[in-house]
Amino acid sequence: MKSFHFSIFLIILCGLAIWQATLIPKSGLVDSVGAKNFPYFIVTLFVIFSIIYFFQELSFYKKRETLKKYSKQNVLFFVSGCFILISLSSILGFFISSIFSSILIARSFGIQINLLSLRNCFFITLSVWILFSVILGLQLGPFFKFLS
Amino acid sequence: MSSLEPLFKGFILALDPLILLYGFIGCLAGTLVGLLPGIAPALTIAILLPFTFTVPATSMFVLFAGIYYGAMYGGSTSSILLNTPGESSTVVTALEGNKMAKKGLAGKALATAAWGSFFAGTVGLIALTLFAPLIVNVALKFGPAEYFSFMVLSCVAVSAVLGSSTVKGMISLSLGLIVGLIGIDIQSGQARFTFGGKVELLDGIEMVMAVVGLFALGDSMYLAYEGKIKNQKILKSPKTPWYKWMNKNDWKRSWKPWLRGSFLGFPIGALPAGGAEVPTLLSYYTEKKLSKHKNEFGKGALEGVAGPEAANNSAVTGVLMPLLTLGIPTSATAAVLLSAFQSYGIVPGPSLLTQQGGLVWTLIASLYIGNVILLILNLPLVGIWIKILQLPASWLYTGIIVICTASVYSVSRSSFDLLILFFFGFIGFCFKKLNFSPTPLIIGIIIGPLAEQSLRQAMIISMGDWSTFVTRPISASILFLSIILFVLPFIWKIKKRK
Repeated sequence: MKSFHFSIFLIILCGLAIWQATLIPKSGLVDSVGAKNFPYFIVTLFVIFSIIYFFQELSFYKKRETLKKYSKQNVLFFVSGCFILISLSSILGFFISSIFSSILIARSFGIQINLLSLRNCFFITLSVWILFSVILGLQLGPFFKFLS
Repeated sequence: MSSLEPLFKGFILALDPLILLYGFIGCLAGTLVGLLPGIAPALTIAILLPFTFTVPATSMFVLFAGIYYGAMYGGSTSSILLNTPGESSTVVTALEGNKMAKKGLAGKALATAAWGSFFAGTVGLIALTLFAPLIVNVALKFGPAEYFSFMVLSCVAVSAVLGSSTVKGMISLSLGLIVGLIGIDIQSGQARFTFGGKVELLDGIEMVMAVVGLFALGDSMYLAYEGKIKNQKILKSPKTPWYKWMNKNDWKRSWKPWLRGSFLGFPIGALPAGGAEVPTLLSYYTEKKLSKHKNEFGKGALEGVAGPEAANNSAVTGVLMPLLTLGIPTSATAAVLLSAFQSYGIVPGPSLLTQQGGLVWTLIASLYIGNVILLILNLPLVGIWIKILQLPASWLYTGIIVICTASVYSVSRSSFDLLILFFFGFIGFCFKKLNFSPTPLIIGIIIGPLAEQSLRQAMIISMGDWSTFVTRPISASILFLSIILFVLPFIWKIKKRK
């Protein structure tokens, strides 16, 4: 992610923020500020500074460095790990999906995927699940969601 | 309002075995957090926010206080022995402390850092005990207009003054303010920024998601991107018993820097944009100027560790002043603590000390006790911490991510929450890579709704007259100061170019 790309991402966020701000319905209450004015002001602030940042980065765009190959790979593994957790947690539950996710995240930190790393990921997730669900009483859902 | 009697009552409550246990666990966790680079106390407290549903407020805040304080102690150990500051405010300690350790003087550096932290922490707490009721008495006279102006000042100071660029700071802040407004507006009942009333967004974004995403996932993704995770060489801790690490001459060289650091740290920490980084740097340069051993600076000077460490801990206590007396957070950790207060339905502000006096004074008393616990944890037990630092970093970070995702998932067991978490993780990665500060974003999330509420109240009181903010002297002065702080970096830049 280069700073110019991030500035484009910010401009997209600005578009979303403006769209959402225009959707706020008018308040029926007698209130001089209302539900709209403060969000309008904040969104304006965000838009102004994002545009300034965009033009700042536009002038430096050509000087930027290119990403190294291994970095891209690592980030890809990391993002895949996150994606697996999001997509599988509702189907398989937290425990199983977290094991798969943590393998990919560990890979992004330079650990090779093999039986040993799978075992480590299993024990890390198991300890966290026991700590949260059994000892501390916070619910992470059933151990095997698809069986329940 | 006398502060000694309620403080005494606070001590009685804080010495309850269960509360003491929470305090001890907090100190232990805080030291660990401080030791490990990339894990901020704000993140740890955020991970523990789901427990506010099950654990009583007093116990939880004592735990949080232990984490907050412990991180500062732990940060100095990793700075000295590993040359990797666990906290941004301990960067200066690494400058001199690690060089001392390389010369075989690790014991002296560790001892002056720990004793200095203890001394300054206690001085800061005494100042907090004495001045908090006085500030509350003044703050009780403030109206919503003054509060709104204070929040504007806090936002401007954190985003425009600190950090690498005002533009980046303001982007971070405004994004935080927008995120803070997501959900149903309490006064009008209108859904805002909810993408057509998406159910998961109606209650707003939980603080834990933003903090964990920005700090834990963002930083970890950045480490993966850099490909720099590897175990560093840790210098050995001294073999002599801890009480022999400092001799008479070292005590003589340390006490004045401790004192100066304490007096620099507390007031700056208590300012809206104070934080702990500025006073540590100031203390370092002050000691460099005043020291009789100027030639040792840059090669491992005792004063260069003693002063900044004292300033660091004193500033951390100072940050609690605006939080507990005005309800205004001036750091990411303070913002998360404010969010914890809100989880318990407690409204931080001047009324906190009167309405929740028991909780606040127990918290302050536990900080006094925590200071002693941390001294014990960080001097005789330093060998144990070194063993923790020797764990493989890759697995450590993998474990941290599993804990973080578990903490967020436990809030409502929703994949959507994880999606939001990873969105903030992506923002955190970009922020880290492109040198944006995440602190204004966190402060924006918490201050946004509070500022809007104060603005509305002020407008109702003034019957819709916007001039209320400039006709009330205190409010006008604060707003004027905010404008100066906002404009100053731009003028500075233009002057520099010329």
